[in-house]
Amino acid sequence: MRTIRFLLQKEFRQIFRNRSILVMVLVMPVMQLFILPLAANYEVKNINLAIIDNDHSSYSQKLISKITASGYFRLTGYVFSYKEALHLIEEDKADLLLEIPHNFEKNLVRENSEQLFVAVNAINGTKASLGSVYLNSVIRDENNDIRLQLVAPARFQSQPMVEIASSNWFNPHLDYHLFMVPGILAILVTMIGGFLTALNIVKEKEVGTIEQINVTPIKKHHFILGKLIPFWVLGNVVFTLGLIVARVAYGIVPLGNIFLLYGFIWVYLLAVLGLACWYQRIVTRSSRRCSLCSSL
Amino acid sequence: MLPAWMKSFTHWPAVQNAANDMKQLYTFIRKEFAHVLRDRKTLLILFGLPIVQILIFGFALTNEVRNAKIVIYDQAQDVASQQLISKIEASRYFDIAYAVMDHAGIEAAFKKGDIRLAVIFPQGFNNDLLHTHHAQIQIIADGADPNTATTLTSYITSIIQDYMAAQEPFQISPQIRYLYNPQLKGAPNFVPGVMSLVLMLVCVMMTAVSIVREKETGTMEVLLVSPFSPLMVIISKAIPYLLLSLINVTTILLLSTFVLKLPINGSIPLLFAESTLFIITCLTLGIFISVKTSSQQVAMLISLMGMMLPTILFSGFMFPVENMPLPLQLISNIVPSKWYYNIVKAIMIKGLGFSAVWKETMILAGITVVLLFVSFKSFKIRLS
Repeated sequence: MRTIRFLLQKEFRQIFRNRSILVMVLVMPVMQLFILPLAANYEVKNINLAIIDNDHSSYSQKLISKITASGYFRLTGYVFSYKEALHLIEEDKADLLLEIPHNFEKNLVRENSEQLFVAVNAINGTKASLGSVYLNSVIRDENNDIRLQLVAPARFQSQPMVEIASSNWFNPHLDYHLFMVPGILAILVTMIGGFLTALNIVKEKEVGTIEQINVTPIKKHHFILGKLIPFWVLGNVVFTLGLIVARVAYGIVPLGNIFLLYGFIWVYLLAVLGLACWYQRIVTRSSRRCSLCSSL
Repeated sequence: MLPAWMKSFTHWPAVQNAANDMKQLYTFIRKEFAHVLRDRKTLLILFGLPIVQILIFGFALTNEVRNAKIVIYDQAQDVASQQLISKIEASRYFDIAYAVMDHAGIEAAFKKGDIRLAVIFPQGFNNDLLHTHHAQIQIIADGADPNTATTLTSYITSIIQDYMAAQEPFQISPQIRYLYNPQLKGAPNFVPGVMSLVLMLVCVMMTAVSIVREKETGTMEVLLVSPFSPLMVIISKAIPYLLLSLINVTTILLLSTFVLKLPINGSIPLLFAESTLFIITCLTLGIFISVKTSSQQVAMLISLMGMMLPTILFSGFMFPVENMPLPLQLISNIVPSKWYYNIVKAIMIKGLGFSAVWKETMILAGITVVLLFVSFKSFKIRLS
């Protein structure tokens, strides 16, 4: 036990002496939690839309203003042919194009139905499917408005209708931060735990001090424990910092038992640190180690 | 052999110097190759990384929603609800995990974690539908993952509406066509992304580290006092990585064509030419970092944190750039991989020609020239 205590003392001294580690531990979580949720936002809004309006009728104008007013779309092109609109998509100036056919209003009123043509740049599948879903729902909404105008609502519906009421649990406003912040916390703890431990041990090898340790009566498990415990503590510090930032900046609090959460972090950190220790056995130079860590 | 009239030129000192330089350069490039090839483990990572990333992204990471597990709480248990349930079950998007018997069961199912959606049929569903012509279905999605929740809700809504198929009057039906990627696969998006990521990693980090290592071990001094020009030292460092990166590009393209079945729609020579330009940009970036730093660790951390993270964040292949706050959008413009990603997308997926990517090409070339100039200016040929 005494050996481990001295080793721990040495490790902690080395950590506190090394400014860059302290900066990494204290500043990185805060920076990442502030910047990443801003930048890494999967939420699909600001979809660039090009419209080809061949009809120029009151209905088509209403449809267009409804779409642009929905807040999800940015009208970036109002063009006159499919070719021009496709060109906008090729240049990445538009993600979606909506073609309103000639005689849209006339056909809708006379023939009871009409089609619209939508083409989506589907290279990014998520964005494409969400974009078309949004556009679809705006069109459906507008369709209902038109229907209300044209048909006097009957007191008794003649056709069976199913109404769908949907709601989202756990995140009623579909706030993307709720999804991102816990993910970033997990990445942070892994990065700090894995990265720092591995770098630290490899450094000992590179500088050559590991040989001195090898010739002392320090046992293998002493050495590994001496390395593990400080970084395990650091991991906990980072996690706590992250929780505080999440609480202050985003108002996200763990709803479950916070002690259980810490229990899991303790076990998880052990796993990450174990992985890092195993790594340093196979890899001797820090350049390789970094690329391995990052590729994980 | 050279013709006789040219032979006379070879005796001129300038020509002889040039020939000498070429020979020296060749020797140095051979030395660098030996360095790279000797280091088996690094080599393994160099070539293994793109393969692993393509396979991981190709098979593990898909944004496609398929076989999402849902639960059903059917209070009605009548003809209409059973028909709807079998219709939902038949679609390839949903897997009905089990039926729950009360509201508490729904919450328990969500908390167990693998359930994405719950569908609730109220009592007397069929009765309502037949007699009042108006029935309700409730859908509850797990909002913890907002995008999946939205997508699933809309899928299930369209399945239910399809079932009703009641031709309402004055129906506007949008016909949707997915351009470039009709099956909404993940590959067309991430193959260009992985290409820019891997090239960035290999070129920037490896060059920076290999030059700084020479500084750290002190062999740089030997090179500086030799008659060999410092510029040539740098060029000979960069050339092996240029070749290795081109091999990497070829591997990625072969994998994506034959394993992921993603054909190259545009011109292959153009794609390679643009890739070479991007590789050169990355190499100059690596040189720039190596000029500014003096230890391997720092060089590595800078190239990892300063290059990898911006590439992932700002190239637009993971996260949509247009959603970011304006300052971050402006920053994204100086990230070279963003432009390369756009170029690869345009050539490989959209099948466009040079006329579509000349602007991006100019920007990449501009970044390269600026970086070269700056690092040339601050390259120290004297020891401090």
